Amino acid sequence: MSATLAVRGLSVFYGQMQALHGVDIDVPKGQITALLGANGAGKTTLLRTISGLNTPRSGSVRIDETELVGKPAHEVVSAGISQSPEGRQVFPNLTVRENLQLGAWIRKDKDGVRADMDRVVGLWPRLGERLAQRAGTLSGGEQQMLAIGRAMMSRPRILLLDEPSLGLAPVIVAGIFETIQAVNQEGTTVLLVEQNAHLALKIAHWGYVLETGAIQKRAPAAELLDDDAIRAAYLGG
Amino acid sequence: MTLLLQQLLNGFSLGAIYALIALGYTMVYGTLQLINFAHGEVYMMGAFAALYLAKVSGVADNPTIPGAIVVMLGAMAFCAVLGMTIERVAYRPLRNSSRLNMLITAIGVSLLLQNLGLLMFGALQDFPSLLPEARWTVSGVMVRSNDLVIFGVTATLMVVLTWIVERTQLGRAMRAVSHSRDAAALMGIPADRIVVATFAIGSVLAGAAAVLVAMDKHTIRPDMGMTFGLKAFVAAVLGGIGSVPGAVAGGLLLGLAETLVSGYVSSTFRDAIAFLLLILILLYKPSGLFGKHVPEKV
Repeated sequence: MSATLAVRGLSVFYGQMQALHGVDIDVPKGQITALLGANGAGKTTLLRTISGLNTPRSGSVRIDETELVGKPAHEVVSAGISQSPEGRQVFPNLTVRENLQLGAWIRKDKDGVRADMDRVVGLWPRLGERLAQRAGTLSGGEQQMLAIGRAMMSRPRILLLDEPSLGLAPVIVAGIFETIQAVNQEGTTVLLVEQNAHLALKIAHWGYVLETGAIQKRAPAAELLDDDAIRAAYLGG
Repeated sequence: MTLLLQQLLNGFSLGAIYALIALGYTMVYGTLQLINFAHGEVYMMGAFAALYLAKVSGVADNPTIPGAIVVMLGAMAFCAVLGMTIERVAYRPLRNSSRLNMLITAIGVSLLLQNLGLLMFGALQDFPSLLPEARWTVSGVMVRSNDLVIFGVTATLMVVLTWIVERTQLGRAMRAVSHSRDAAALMGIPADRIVVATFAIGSVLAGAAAVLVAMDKHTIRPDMGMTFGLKAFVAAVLGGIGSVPGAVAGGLLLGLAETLVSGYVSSTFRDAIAFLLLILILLYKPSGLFGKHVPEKV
């Protein structure tokens, strides 16, 4: 239920503008890797490219030994990668239950899907209380829980999370990060994109720093937490 | 009172047909933001396919209920294939180009099919009865068996459609794709296959509508999709394009408006009312009766 993700020399352009400059990233099996960086650094572009929503000009993305570049986005999910996207992107007109059911689109094992829905509801009982409610009526925190829960429904080997803390109250964020850690401890590899560097590094094993489309630093998370330059740039001094 | 009841009956009957065709416009718009102007021509081709089937199968000479069902299912299947083919050949290559390009292509496909119909079938053809027809007078109101067939078939198809959209994984995926193709792709949903399914379902409904109209009017013409399609499109806009219940409400409203105007004012204004309603709705509630007001994102 876990895998290694390897990104090599990934370059992505939007028209003439280059968004990623030969990015290399390793997401080791069973661990949480945090990707830090300011707004516009290219974090979301990287996740979109891994998921097949953007096409790179060059480079490779491999899950274990399988090359993903060139596969359409829906096949990347079948290969074992699931993403909770930036801005949550829950389907507002569908109920919470329907959102979770769609997360399991690639699966045919009805019993397993039901068991996983119980698992998500177990992690976030508030979603369980709102299964029949339209996702658009949920609070921001609940929508974030739903987005992550929905991404878990495909039983991914690697879970990509794009800014799960965005726009949420600190107490909600703390709960969500605890759950991310729990999901990881059950065996899912996680690539976590965050602007909230402190929180991300506290649960991560490895950290990368992305600046204007290029990797500036790679180190164990604990080391980055103590790094003066990182503290100054991303941890508020 | 009798006149009113009669007009209401006729209006619902006509409106049910508009609703069936309007659903095809609205569902395709929901997933692709494309106004599929060729939809009216799919409807027209469905009528000619039904005529051919009725002749070949002998139903034309010996109208029976099972025979009529076979002809209708055949026409629906033909329309499904035609709709999917149009999507594959004309629209999919333009998936990433501007909406204007797709719109112009849609108009082109519409003209192509219409003229193809004219070439193949001539100006008009008689359409046989597929069912033994009857009419009754119920307290002064004339009820035709064809009206009952129209209500029965339309209601059945609406129930099936609602079930698909609300209760199946395909329906959930259709709603997801119409909200965001990217977010749907992240679920592993192949958007292209969902779009094809949407075209197929819309075309199937148009095929059914074509047979119902052909049975009722007994003549079919290559330009029948032009006027009827255009009005069904108005119905879809009236209800709020992209909204399934809106298409049904818009269709019924338009059918009622047309028959009431021709009954109480003058049948000269029958066609004008559709476009008058369109102008009014665009002026005062551009998102339609059931449409959501979606501000343009910048």
